[in-house]
Amino acid sequence: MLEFSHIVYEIVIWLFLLYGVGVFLVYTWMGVYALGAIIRYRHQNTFTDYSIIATSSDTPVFSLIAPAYNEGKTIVENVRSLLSLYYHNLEIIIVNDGSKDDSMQKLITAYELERISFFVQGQLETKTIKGVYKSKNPAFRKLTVIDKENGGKADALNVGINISSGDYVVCIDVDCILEQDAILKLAKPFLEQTDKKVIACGGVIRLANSCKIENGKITEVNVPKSWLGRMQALEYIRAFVLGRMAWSRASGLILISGAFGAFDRKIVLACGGYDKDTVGEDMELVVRMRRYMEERKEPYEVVNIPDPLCWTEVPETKEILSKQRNRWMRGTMETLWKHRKLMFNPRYGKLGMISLPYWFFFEFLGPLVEFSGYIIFLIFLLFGIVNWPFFIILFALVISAGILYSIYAIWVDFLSKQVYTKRKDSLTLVAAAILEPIYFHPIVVKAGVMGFIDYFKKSHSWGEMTRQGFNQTIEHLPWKLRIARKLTYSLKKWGAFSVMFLGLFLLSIAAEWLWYTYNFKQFDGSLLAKNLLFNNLVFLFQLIFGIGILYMILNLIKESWAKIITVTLCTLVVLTQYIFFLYFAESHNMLGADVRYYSAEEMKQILQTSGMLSAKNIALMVILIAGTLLPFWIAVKQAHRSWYIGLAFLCLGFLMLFVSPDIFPAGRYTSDFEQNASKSKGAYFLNSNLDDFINEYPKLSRLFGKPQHISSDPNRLDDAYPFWRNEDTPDFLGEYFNTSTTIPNLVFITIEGLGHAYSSPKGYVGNFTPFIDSLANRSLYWEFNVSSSGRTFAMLPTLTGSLPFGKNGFLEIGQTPPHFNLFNVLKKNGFETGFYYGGDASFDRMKAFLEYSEVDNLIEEQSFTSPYRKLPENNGESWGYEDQAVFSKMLDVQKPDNQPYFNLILTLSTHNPFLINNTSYYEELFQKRVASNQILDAQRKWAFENKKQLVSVLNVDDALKAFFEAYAKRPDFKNTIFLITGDHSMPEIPLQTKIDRYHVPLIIYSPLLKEPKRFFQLTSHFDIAPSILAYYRENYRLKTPSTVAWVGRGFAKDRRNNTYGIPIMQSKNQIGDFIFNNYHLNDNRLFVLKANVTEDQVDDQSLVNEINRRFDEFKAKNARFYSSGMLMPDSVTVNFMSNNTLDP
Amino acid sequence: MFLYVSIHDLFLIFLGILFLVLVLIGVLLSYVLYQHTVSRHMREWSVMIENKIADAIVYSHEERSSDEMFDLYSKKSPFRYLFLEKLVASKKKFSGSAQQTIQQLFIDYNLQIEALQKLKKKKAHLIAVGIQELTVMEMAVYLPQISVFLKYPSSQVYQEAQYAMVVFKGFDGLSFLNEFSYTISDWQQLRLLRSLKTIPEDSIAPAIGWLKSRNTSVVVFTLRLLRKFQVFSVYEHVRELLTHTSIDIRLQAVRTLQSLENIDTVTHLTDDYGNQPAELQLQIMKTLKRSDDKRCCDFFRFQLLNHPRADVKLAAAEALVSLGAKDDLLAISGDKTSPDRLVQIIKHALGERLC
Repeated sequence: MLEFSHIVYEIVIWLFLLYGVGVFLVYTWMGVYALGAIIRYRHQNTFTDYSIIATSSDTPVFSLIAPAYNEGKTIVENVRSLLSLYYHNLEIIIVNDGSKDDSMQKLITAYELERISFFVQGQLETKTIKGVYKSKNPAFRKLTVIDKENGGKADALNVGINISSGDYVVCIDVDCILEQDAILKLAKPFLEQTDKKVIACGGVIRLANSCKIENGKITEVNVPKSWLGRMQALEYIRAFVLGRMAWSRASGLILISGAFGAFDRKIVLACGGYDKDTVGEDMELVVRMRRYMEERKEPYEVVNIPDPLCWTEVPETKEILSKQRNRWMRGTMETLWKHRKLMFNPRYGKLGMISLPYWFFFEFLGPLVEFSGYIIFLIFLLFGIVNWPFFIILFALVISAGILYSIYAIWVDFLSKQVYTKRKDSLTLVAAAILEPIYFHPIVVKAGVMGFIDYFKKSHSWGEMTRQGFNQTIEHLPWKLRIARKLTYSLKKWGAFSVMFLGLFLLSIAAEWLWYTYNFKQFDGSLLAKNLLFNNLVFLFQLIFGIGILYMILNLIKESWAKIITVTLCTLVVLTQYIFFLYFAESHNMLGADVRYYSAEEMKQILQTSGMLSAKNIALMVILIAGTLLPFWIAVKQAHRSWYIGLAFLCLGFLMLFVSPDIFPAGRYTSDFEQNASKSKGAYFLNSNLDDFINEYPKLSRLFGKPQHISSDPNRLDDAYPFWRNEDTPDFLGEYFNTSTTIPNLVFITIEGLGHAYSSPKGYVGNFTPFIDSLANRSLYWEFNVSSSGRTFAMLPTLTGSLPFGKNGFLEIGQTPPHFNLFNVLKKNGFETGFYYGGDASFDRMKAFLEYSEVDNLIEEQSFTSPYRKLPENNGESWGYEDQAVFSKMLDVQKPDNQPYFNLILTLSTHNPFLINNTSYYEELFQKRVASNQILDAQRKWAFENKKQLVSVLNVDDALKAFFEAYAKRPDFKNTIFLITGDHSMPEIPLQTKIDRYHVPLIIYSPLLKEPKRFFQLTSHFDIAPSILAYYRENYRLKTPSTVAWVGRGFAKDRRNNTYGIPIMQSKNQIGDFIFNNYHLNDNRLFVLKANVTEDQVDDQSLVNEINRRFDEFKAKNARFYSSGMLMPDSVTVNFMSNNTLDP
Repeated sequence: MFLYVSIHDLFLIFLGILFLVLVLIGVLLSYVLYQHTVSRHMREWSVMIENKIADAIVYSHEERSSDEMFDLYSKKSPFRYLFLEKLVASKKKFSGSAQQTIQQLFIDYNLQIEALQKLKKKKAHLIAVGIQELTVMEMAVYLPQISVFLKYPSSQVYQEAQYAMVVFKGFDGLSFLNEFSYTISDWQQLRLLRSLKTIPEDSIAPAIGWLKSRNTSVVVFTLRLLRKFQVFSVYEHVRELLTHTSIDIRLQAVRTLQSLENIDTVTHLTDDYGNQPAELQLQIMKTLKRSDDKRCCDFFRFQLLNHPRADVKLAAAEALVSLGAKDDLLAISGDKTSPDRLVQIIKHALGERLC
């Protein structure tokens, strides 16, 4: 089995790699395509004579619009520069956007302006125009100055568009310096248009920082002096010379810089002008214009020309640069969100299918992906799971590729005889390209991420949102209305949040499905998908209802509480969904309330030894938490336009409370494991805990549970102790043994996870215990034996004491109830007793039981020293000592002279994660075994799928063989009875039928045996202790209790005569199975146990009811026991133990 | 492992790419530096060529000193291409005898060889440059070689060939319009119009034919041509175009009628006014305004008061101002029943100073 996090870890890595490859390919394409575009432009304009349009009156009118805000220091010079532009049909409109300085006064004075009456023809909505000014001096007749109330750049541009009379509007920043032929060059693409209408045209913008400027003209071009400026110069080359030219050539350009761009005025007006509600108004306008043309199916072009036409000052401090990039990110997000309908919409051609997706994936997501990469890297670093050689090579590649792209841009810039033609300038830019990744780039990424956050902070809406000031606006309302408004508001928010909840939960379901189909090839993928989806959707909508109601109530009290609690709860739900399915895939068990009955230490040990607490897993869990929490935190701040969606979610959730997953036809599964895989693990966990909680409180249990009835039983000694009765177990074993002169020793060997399926030739996996099988042929062998639980926790009480479970297993009862078991009864009869275990005996509170039983030799992990070998560690944790060590330890500790003795050995190595020493040897054994004719073709498939587990089984079998070989050399061997069984089947090996989980072999071997015998009757671990004591009592006159509280009645020749029934506890919180006669009841379904050790479902309701009645009666007795905590009166055990005379 | 690629494989792949990237960085850097060296040489050559041209313009043939170095370089192909480029650029800047001197330099150094070589290239831009060079240097002798490019698939080439035809042959060079099916861009139309200095007396027949062309751009160009050279005899043919399906042609027709104006033009335009869309109506208003015909006052007044569109009203008000009907406008604006919008339009047209 792959380790827990492996695939998720790889998915994260691969996503980043794929994204990196995407970036690499896109930039390679841009570089190549832009070069072609520039060369073509140069070829087409070798001898272009711009004077044709400079002087012609038959050319279109261009209206140059320059918004100005507090530009008093430079505005006069800047306007003078604009007035000197070469173009005949040009009008220059300066829009003073409510400047607080003396800009207006300076303009009036410098250009002899006078306020005139002006009728504004454009219909774009703008702030109020305070006045329109024209010059008295004919020399400035092209100039119009507008004074207006402050409304932002977009508003000022809209005023200019309203006022303008040109065919085209050229929008610029007033502080930009234009080349004198800028309009001529910009006009040419419009004049050259033939089949396609040119709707917008932009030129290359260059940096004016450090350039020599005289009379509003650039007279000497220099590379900026600061590194920040130089890196922006480089960035502008990449953006304008490569990026924009490539997109222009590909007809995919959606950004014409706000600093300088020309637009078709009619289309701008038809589109509604600049959007005042976005900070990225330049990009938004182009997208809207393109959208307009696409919707009308008119051919069009957005063109960028590679001539440097405009010079602008870029920020040379980090603070201003960060603010600018923050604004750009917000602008991008606003535009992408506003036009989200276009994304991947073929109706919008290249705009929808290429341009917007490019902007989304690379311009918008770029900084976020990079930032998340840093975070993930830090987490990996923290947990020490960075693959350093790989990281270093990848890091070097990314940096080098960036530098290569920059140098390429410098070369293209030089080749096209752009701006920086000096050798020194090129070298300075190369140096900037090398420094950029460590100095400039982090600033830009940080600003981008901050922009992303600010977008949500500053209430730029996703749809229509109600946010700030809500509480203030409703405070004055009557309380009824106020509550109604608050509920409506809550529903709007819950509607938006539910969508996110649904999305993230479905994502986890998709992950679950992928995980199963990837790991378990035998699953029917489509059936699994259908059922997983249905079962989980029912559960999810129930949660949406439940959490939604909680949210609404909390929202009435305090919104912040509602937000925090909802986000926390839903994050937990989604996270646990991942944990549940991974746990299930690993353990083949659904996690239920049993998790509550493991102590923190035990949980830690389980997680560590199974490799779950690896650094990689923890790192991925941190990423998963962040990846879940962040979208929820964003979603909780949103609200849907309508409250209907929220209400619909709640109603649907409410309806789902009455929907049982059973209404959906489950389909045919090949195994119980596959069927469980299709269930909602979250629903199971929740229901399991709810049942557990109800059972914990008898009053609640009576309220919600079935009425408890215990029928009268003449053998019962006292109704207060429902299991207490006279001991009447017949001696079953005596007839199979020769009588020894001395009391025989007793050794129980309980093998962890030894199931019948792989320890018998009849098992569906095959026989992987050749020694145990050979021993079975020389022993008393019960082929159809069942354990009392699906885990180890019930092994000790059942095997040694045939004890009922109590609420969460007998061992979990804090104060061990007085009782009889093999340890204390045999010890009372002079046996030396011992418990041998390579792990921590405190696990499952076994130690408390053993201490109660006053076991003489309690051997656990701490008792071992060198040269005993531990099992290999998994992430620094090992379950304890290998089985070989445990067997040897028993032989070392137990002296042959101290007879009689009773020892119980519990093995360990066949526990998850199935790590053993000398793996290669046992793998070789496994290969030989699988290749041999001992394993059938049908069994081979199972074998290969569960190799790791079966290799560990071969190991324990080999260890057992060595143990017996060593034991046989001891004098006490001949007088010893060995009982070998498994505590339960491994859940990690898929089960064919429900009973397979509990179907374990039972072998009793002894040199004292008269002959081997094979029994086909059903028997149970509950039968062992009564039969063993009956054997000793009847054959060796041991004193045994006359009254007992055993569940089992001893081995029988015919199970049908047995009327007590066998209860089985699957996990610590669930008594879910019951066997009566040949019938097995599981989850209200009845199966008949067949001679071939399988089972088939029976549809006999009366039989189901009858067996359910008996099962309920057992549960009622068990409930009475755990509510009293007493199996029998104290005096019974006290009297037995204090009686010093052993009756013959 | 996804895609059956191990981390180790990826490591090797990335190492390979990294090596490639580093090599490319090295190659590119070297190339940039090499290009700077080439560029420096080119700048030196440019200075040498510019000096040569300046000398040729300033000094007479006899006064010029011999320049062995220049003559030596002039045998090198790259130098000759640069020389040719500089000569073409210079000829555009100068006029009169300087142009002739430059042309003589072109002939003296047999640079037509390079220009003609370009005509034989496959790359469209090189052919276009070759045609441009021969055209600028007025090498009419190569007209047959150039004319074959009139039907060349590349627009860049056939546009240069068209331009060359017009430069060399004048109005006759426009004969390609007879069967031209592509759109002639505004840019090309401006170039052709600019290069055409006169049109012959017998130009009416082909022009009338072009006015009937199915190619809208040919009609528009012809209207511009007729407007530029004021070919009054085609007035009626132009007037017929006021009913053409293309709005662009009708707009150009209105403008051309203004240029070909006769006594009936005002009547023709006002009569046709009601049948035209708003865009045309606006153009007619501007045309009528330029006619400066007082007979239009009532028409303008009517439009000012009754037309629903503000831009047409404004054009009407401005026309009334230009016809000296300010008092009329002041009376309308002073009338308290006049809508505010109308008053604002009149004030705008009057250019009223507010302070």
